[in-house]
Amino acid sequence: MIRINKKIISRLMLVIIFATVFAAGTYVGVKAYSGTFFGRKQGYGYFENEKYKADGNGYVLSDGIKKTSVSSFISYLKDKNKKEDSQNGTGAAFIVYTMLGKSGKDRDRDIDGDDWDDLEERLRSLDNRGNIDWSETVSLKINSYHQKWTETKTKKGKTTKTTYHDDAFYSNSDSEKSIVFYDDDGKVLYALAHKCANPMGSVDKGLPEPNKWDVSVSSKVTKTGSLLPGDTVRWTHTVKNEGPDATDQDVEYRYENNSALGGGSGSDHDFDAGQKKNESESFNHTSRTINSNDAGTQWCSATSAKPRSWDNSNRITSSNACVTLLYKYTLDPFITSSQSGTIEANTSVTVTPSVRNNGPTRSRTTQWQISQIVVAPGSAIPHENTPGTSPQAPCVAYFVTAGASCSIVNNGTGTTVLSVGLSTLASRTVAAGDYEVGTKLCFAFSVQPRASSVPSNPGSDDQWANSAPVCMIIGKKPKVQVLGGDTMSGGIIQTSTSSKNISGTTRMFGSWDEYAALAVGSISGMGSGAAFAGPGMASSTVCKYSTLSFTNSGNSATCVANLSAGGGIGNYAIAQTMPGVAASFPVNATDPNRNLGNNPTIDLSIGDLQGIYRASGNVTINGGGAGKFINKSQWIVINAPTANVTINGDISYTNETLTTIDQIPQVIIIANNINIVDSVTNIDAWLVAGGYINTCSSINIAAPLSASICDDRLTVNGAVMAQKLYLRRTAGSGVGNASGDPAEVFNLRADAYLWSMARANSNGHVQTVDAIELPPRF
Amino acid sequence: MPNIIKTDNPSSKKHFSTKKKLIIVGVILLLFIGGAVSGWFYMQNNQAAQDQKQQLAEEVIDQTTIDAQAMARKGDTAGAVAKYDEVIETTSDAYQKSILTINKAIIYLNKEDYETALSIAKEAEAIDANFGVVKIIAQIYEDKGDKPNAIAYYKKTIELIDKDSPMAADDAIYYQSVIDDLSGGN
Repeated sequence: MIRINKKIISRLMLVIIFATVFAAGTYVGVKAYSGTFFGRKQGYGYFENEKYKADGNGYVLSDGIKKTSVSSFISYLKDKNKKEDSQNGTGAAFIVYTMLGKSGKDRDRDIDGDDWDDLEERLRSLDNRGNIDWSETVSLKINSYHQKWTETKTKKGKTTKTTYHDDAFYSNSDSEKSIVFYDDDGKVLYALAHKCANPMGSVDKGLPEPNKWDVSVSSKVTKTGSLLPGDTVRWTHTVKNEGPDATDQDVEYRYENNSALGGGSGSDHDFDAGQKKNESESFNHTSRTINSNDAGTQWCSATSAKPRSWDNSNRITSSNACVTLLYKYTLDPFITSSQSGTIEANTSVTVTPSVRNNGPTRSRTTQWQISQIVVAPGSAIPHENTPGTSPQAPCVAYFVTAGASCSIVNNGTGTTVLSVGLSTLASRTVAAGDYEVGTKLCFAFSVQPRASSVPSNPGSDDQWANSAPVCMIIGKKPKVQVLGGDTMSGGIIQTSTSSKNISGTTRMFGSWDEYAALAVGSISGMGSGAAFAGPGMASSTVCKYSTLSFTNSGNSATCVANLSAGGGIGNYAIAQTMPGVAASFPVNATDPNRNLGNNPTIDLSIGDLQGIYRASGNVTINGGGAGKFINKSQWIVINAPTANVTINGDISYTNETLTTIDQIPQVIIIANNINIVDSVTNIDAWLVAGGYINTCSSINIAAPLSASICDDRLTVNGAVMAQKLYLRRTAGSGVGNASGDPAEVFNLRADAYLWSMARANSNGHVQTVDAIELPPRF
Repeated sequence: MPNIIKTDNPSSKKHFSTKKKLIIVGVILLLFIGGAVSGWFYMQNNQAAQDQKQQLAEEVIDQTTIDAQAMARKGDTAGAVAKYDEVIETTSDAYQKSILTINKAIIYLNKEDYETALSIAKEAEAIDANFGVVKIIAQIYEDKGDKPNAIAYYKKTIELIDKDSPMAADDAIYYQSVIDDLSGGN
């Protein structure tokens, strides 16, 4: 009989128990081995961990999945997951959880909000890095499929059927067109086949969690210099990772110009992946060189970066860093005029304003003004020849004095920008007013502000800069009138005209003849038929004021004013020489009583000169003087064709009442040259000169005249004949309706004809008896 | 003989008994955990050994595919093609050759260079006209707009579906629907 030690048995039992426990642990360990995919071996359902059963299988999502964006992808899966216990509900949960890298153990099919958010973040991170291809054919060794089976249970005699849906992985190399998720190295992390939505690929880790980061960008001006032409501006552009994680992709950043710099942008700089929170990188960007026309503009530049964050591939742009470029300049205005010296009232004057900007920058918007300054005769021109500045507009005070008034001709209200150098503004034509002779008419150009405002010179830069005025003096164009007869010339007739605005109507004034005007040469300016008589001629034309001017009109039945067009006034051939007046008044060369001698001075109204006289040398005729007249029936012919006669005083016929033509007095002066001194205003005589007649011999015939020289009107009542007629009087040509007043009037009155007739009658008979009753002689 | 004084102390006995029990429970836990860990490692090693034994060639193919796809993804088409060509030369297995060749065709398919893709895919078909090759040819034809050939190859695809595949039934339905769509568009 074997005797078993109780102790041994006890120890044996312990060993058996320990071995059993170890075996049980081993079994549990073996059972707990997860296999390859999320704690599930091939063919074991992700949720239920059941081996594939043959009730049914197929695609994870019955309609597959074809999406092209993260948003539509998420929406699609959410829609499929609504019915959790279905094929598609289970499939959507299977896809989401495996993308998140989650084990299937103890996991239901209800996906909570955090998981959806987590999935979207991971997808957006991948998408922003370009690591999702929404349609690409890939070859992968792991595939998955849908499982479906039904379990029947009987409990207490009641049988219930439960249908299960699950999804499982299995090894199966295959190629499918899929939505493919890559890592940064281009390796496939995960794929969902279009046709079935079966997860494929290296799916045991899911999609990587994203690095969450945002970048900020900023710009600042780091160098400005003087901000004047020749300088440059430098900006520093910075990109910074605001975290919280390091960047996991390259960020491209660049500058972007704005404002007056335009919209250009620079080349991209790389802010490489891996930048930790608060790490930053910068680069400098220098502007182009400032030029003179940049003054006053604002130059801005900003920093722009892309992607702006881990989940946003768009661009982020900083606020602008700006500088305003400075003005620095001074302006010198000046003005030029088309007229200078003396002009007639109402003359058109074209003034041209200019300004020199001395730089170095262009000007601000500048207002400007052309001023007209009218200075009364005898008054001083304000700021003559001197440019200057004024705090107020020039016509407020600067160009205003007791004798000078100022008005605005034209102005610009502050939109003109003046470049460096000379700028010429639009010319302006001004009609000089109908001012009194001697009035000074001036123009000036002013600009404001005169210079840039700089700290070293505040205040005064804002003033007006005024040019020195350019001035003209109002003068006149003396006129001659021929009354009672024609004007005939063997050469040309040339006089001036004046156009004036009289009471709103432009009228022409000029010299004129009451009757005809005839010239072998041209006629210009001279009116005929009393064309300019009265208040001048309105709507004047050459033909209109030449109605009695003779011309060879050729085949034209109408007046053609322009010589080059085959017309022209005058040019009328007259086969006629100056009448031989001297021959009509033969002088007794042997009668000493008829010889006034050589270089005589004659007072016509004194004594008993009657008849024809001869003289030689330089003959001076004093006329009658004040209150002295050529008497009734007195007639005097001074026939001195070789003498130079100077008329020193008025020659006036008697103003008595005459009863017969025999009583008409008459004076005829026949000379080589006839000079009339400036004080003579009336000559009742015929003036016949073989040479010239000078109506104002008090100054040299070649000396310039002024309105104050020879300024008395001369009236000659009688026929006038000469080789040359120097019309040197400056009287008349006043203002308004007096604008046509003449300086000389040649009036061939009827008394000359009547006297001639009377003389002809007396000479028409032969005197045979001359009886003179003499007193008795004792 | 020494005197042994036995003291009958119930409290001491009870204390000894409790301590013994705790030791026994601890030993049991240790044994259980040790067994579980041993089982885990055994299975893992056993699985790895089995994988190595069975899938050595497949691993080469898989790694080649992974690398080539990554190269193509990065724009190195020539490198990806060379990678496939290098491995194709090393195997005499028709199926593997055809799969590697069709993977090469897929590079051009993804670049929408359908003529080159088709040319290479035809080489794969000539080597072994299996399911994976034929369905890619069908896809190339479909993508290039050649519906008749696409339909013809999708029909071949249906014929070549592995009836043991868990997706065999759905695949048949799916490819037939593609054929129907293409036919309707003719």
